[in-house]
Amino acid sequence: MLALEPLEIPFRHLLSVFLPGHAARTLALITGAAFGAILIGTSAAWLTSAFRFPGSLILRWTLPLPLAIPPYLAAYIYAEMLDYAGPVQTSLRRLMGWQSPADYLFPDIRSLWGGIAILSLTLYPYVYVAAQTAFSRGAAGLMQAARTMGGSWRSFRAVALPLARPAIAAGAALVMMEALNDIGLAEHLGIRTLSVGIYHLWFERGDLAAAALLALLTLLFAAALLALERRARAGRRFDDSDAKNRLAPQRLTGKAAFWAWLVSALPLALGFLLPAAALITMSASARWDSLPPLAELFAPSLRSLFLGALGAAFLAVAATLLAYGGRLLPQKLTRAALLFGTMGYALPGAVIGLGIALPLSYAGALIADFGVSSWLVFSVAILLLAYAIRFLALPYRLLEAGFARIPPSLDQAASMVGKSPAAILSAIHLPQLAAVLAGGALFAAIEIMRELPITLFLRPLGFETLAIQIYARADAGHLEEAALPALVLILLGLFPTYFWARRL
Amino acid sequence: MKNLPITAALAIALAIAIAAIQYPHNASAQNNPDTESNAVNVYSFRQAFLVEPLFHRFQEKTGIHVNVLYAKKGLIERIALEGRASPADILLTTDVGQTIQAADSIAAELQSQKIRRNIPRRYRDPNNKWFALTRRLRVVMASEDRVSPQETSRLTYEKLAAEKWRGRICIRDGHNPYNLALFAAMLIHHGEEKTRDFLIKLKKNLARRPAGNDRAQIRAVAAGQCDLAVANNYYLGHMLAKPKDDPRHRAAQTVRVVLAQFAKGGTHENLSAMIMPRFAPNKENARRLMEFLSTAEAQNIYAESNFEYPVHRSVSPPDLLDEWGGVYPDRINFREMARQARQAALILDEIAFND
Repeated sequence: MLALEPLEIPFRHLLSVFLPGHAARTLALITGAAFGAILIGTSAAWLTSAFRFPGSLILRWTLPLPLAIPPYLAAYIYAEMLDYAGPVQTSLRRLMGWQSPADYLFPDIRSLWGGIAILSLTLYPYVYVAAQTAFSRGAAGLMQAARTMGGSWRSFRAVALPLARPAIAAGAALVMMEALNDIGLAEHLGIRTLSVGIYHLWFERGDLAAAALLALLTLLFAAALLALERRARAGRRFDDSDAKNRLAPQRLTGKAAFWAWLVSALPLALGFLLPAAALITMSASARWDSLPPLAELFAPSLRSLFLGALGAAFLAVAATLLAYGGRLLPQKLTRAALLFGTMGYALPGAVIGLGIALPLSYAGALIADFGVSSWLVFSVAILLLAYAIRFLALPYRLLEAGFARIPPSLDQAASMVGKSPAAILSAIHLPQLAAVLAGGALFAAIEIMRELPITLFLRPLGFETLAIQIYARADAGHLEEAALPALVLILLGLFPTYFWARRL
Repeated sequence: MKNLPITAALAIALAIAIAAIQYPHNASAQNNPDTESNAVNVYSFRQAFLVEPLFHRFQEKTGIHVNVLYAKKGLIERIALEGRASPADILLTTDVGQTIQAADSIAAELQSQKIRRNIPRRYRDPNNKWFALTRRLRVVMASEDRVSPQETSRLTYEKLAAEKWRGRICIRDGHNPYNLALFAAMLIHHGEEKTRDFLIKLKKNLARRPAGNDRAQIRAVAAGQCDLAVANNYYLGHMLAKPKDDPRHRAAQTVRVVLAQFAKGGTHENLSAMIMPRFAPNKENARRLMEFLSTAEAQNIYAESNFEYPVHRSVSPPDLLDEWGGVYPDRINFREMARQARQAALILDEIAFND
C-alpha cells in the first residue's frame, strides 16, 4: 500500500543506484556476522564442553555474557577506542614514534569489517548456547565412542559437528536476524544497510514510498532467514531425552590447555570484559561536575525495567496461548498463521514502527473527530504492542519446541477422563514448561530493554528509556555521558542472561 | 479454567503498570484541544542541553510548563502521522531543508508583530510559517601546525577540490543535512555538472571515509589524521568552552577557524528555526514561547551557550565569534537551497560519496 504512493526519488535511481549497494552491504554484513559467530560460538562451545582446562568451568558459564551488551553500544565503545584520535592508536603512535596516518596501517573500525567483527563478538552467544546444548546433551554416548576410537578432533568432525549442525544453523539464523535488524551499529560505523536506508529515505529525504520499497526488500531477506531457520530446526536430530547422559570432558594440560583457554577466553574478553571495563573507566574518570546529574538515570532505568518486565509477561502469556493453540489445531492454516505471526522477529524495527504508526494514525484521525485525543497512537501500550510483534518469536519458538517434547498421548488420556483443554494446559503442560517459559520471557525482556529503532519512533512525549539515553548521548559525541546509563543497562541485562546461562 | 484468573490478574497488572508509567507525563502534558492547559509541548531536533536553559527561563517568567521530546530524526513525519491528535505545539529544527519541509507539510501560519520586529525579513518565512532562531556557519577548520595562515587566507569552498589537499580533508556523512545544504548552495552557484565534478574531487581529497559528527572531524584534525575539516563553527566553540585541562579543550586549541567563502558569494549559512504545527493544541502558549525565543534575552542565551550567530536585529554575537573574523554570509535563497538539497542527495548516491 505504501509502495504505491508517489516516489520523490526517481524510481530508476532507486533501483540502479540505491538498492544494489544497500542490499549487497546488508548481505555481506549479516553473512559475515553469521560466519564470525559460528566460528567463535562453535569453537568455544566445543572446547568448554569436550575438555577440562583451568578456568573452563567458569568460561562455560560466562561465555554468554556478551548478550548483555547491545551491539550498538559495543560499536560506540570500539569506535571510540580504535579511532585514529582514540587511545589505542594514539599510544601506538607515541610508542612507535609514528607521526601521521601515512606511517602505518591500522584497520578502520568504521567499516564493513569492523561491523562484522563487533556483531560476531556480541552475538556469538546465540550460536554458543545452541551448540553447547547440542554438544553436551546430544548423543553423548556416540561421541564418547568416537573419541575412544579416533581422538577428539575426529569425534568433533565426524560426530559432534554433524549432530550439532542444525542447532548451530538455528543460532546463526538468529544472529543474522539480529544483524538485519540492527540500526545503531550500522549507522555509527557508516555501513549503509537496508535498515539504515529505510530510516534515511523516510526521515532524511522525506520519501515514505521509497522507504516502503526498501522495507519490502528487507521483508524478503527476513523471509529467507526464517525459512533457513525452520529448515535448520526441522533437521535437529537429537532431543533432550538423554539429557542425563552428559559427555564426560577430557582433561587438557600444558600447551593444549593454554590454547584452549585462550581461544575460549578471547571472545568473552573482547565481547564483554573489555567494553564493560571501558565503560567503567569512562564513568570513573569523567569529571562529575560535567556529567548530567545521577537523578537523570533513575526514571529511564525504571521505564526500561517496566517495559522489559511488562513486555516479557505479556509475551509469555501470548506465546503460551499461541503455541498451545498450534498444538490443539495442527492444521496447515493454523501453522501458516503462526509462522506469519512470529515473523516479526526477522523484521527490522523500522518496518514495524512504520507498519504500526501508519494505520493507527489513520484510525487516530477518525477517532479525533469524536474528541478522543489519541495520545494513544504513541502511547506505551502501542510501544508494547510493537515489542510484542517484534519479539513474540523468542518465547514462542522455545515453547513450541517444549510442547513438542510432551507426548500427545498424555493430552489424549487427559481429555478422555473429561479434562478441558485449559485444564490440560494448566495441569499437565505448564508445570513441565515453566523453565522454558521463564527462559523465553527473560530473553524477551533483555531484547525489549535494549531495543532501539521501535522505541525511538513510538515512544511518547518525554518518555526516555536507558537505550534512548545512551543513543542520544553517544550520538551527540558524548560517550562519557552515556557510560553510566550503559552500565545500568548491562547490569539489568545480566540477570536474564544469568538465568539463561544457568540452564547450560 | 484455572489459568483464567491468572491471565485476568496479569492483564489488570499490565493496565495498572501502563497507567503508572504514563502518569507523570500525562499529568503534565495534557493535550486536550478544548481547554488551554498550562503547558506547551515542544518537539525538538535540537539537543537538550542547548534548549533547556531557555525553557527554564521561560518557565520562570510565565509559569508555563515546557514538555520536550528530543529526537535526531523523524519528528516531522511523526507530527504528520499524529495528525489532529498531535500534542506538538512547537517544532525546533536544526537545518534549512528540515525547516522548509516542515513548513510545507505540517506548519500553521503565525502572525506575530513581536517576532516580526525581532527577526529580520531574510530569516523568516514570507508566509509566516517558519522563523529562524540562530544562524550557523559551515566553515573549514585547519590544523594550526600543518596548514599555514597564508594557505587558507582566501580559501573558497571550491578550492577544497584542489589537488593540493589530496588525502587531507575530513568531512561527515555527505547526506547529513548540513552537508546537503552546503552542496545545494554549490549547485545554485555552479550548476549540476560542476558540482558533480567538485564532489568527485572532494571525495578524492578525503583522508578517510566520511563518518562521525562534526566534532569527530575536528578531533581528527587535532589528532593529525587530516589537515582540514568541514564543520559548523559552534562545534569548536563547545570544545573551547570546556575546562582548560580537558582534552577536548586542548584539541580545539590546535585548530583554526577559516571562514571559507564561495568564489562568487559568502560563507555558507544554515539556520535553526521554529515552527508551530497546524494542530498544535496549546496555540496561545506556543505563541508566547516562540515570541520569547525571538527576544534579545533568549537570543543572548542562545549565542552565549551555543556560539551560534543570533538572528535578533540588536543582539551581537559572542566575543569568541568576533575573534574568528567578520562574516559575509552567502545570500542565496533558503527555499531554493532546500529544493536543491534533494538534487545534491541524488548526486551523492550516484558517485558513492560515502563509500
